[in-house]
Amino acid sequence: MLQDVLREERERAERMQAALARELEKLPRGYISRKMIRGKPAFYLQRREGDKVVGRYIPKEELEGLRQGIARRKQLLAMDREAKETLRRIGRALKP
Amino acid sequence: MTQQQFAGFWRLLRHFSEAGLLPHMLVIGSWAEYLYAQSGFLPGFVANLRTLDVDFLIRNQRRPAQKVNLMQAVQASGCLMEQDTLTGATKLYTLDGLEVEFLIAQKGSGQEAVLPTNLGVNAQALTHISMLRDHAVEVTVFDMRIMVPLPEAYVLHKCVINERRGLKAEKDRQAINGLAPYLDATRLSDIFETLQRKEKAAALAALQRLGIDTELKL
Repeated sequence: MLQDVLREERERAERMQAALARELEKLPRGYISRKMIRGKPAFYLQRREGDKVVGRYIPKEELEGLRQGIARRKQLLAMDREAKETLRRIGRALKP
Repeated sequence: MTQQQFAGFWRLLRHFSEAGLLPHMLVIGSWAEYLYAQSGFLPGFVANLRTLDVDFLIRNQRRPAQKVNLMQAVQASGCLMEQDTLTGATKLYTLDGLEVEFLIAQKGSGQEAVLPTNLGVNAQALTHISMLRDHAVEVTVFDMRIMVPLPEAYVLHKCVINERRGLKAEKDRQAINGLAPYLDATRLSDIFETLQRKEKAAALAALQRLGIDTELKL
């Protein structure tokens, strides 16, 4: 019976990972950096693409939404790590 | 189960409680057993909890009369809300890894597998589940008033569905055996009398398989 429970939990963790992946797709990647341009703060969304760090200017009206999106992404990535860890533990327990 | 996940369960209930949603739903499934133990409703009972699925049974599709948005209530907790792509049923994933599902009693001929509710979630419609809704009790834990099915209804429901539970049948049998010594015979009989004939037959067959002696008859 323990095996059945573990399989059920594995399916649940996989469903959760799939849901997280779908949600993460919608959220912005990278981080916000603040630069001083002609004495005024300007914000850029920066992310790594291969060897390069690319950035784009963030208009003032997008800034708060992006901040929230990035914070949410961080939260969901932590959930994703937890789900991966659960899957790893279950996988180990189910090993013959 | 980790302490963090137990804490996550209470946090979720706290959010529902603060949003005034708890009177509209029952905690069912193995977490109801946990609540029997935690609330002291069944003194001496120890819940054998092993699942990260939390099931809520919505009592009435059209209540509260004024539509609410359950997601707003849990937004601060960072939950992830999803609609099942095939069925449209709503699911919540908490940051602690709990999977929350919403269920409702099937209506009429049972054509619709999922029903939209005034709580802002689409609930999976299931047969036989009305016996849990109709025989509920309120327990108080951490100042929250939480509805759960009466243990007698909970056990009878597990008996009725036991035959078709597949892999979960054994887990259900353990739950029935664990709760059996704590059941009130009169209440069990009263609830049994409210069941349909087929449900009674299925419940009796399951009790017989489990070797649990009762005075219940068809």
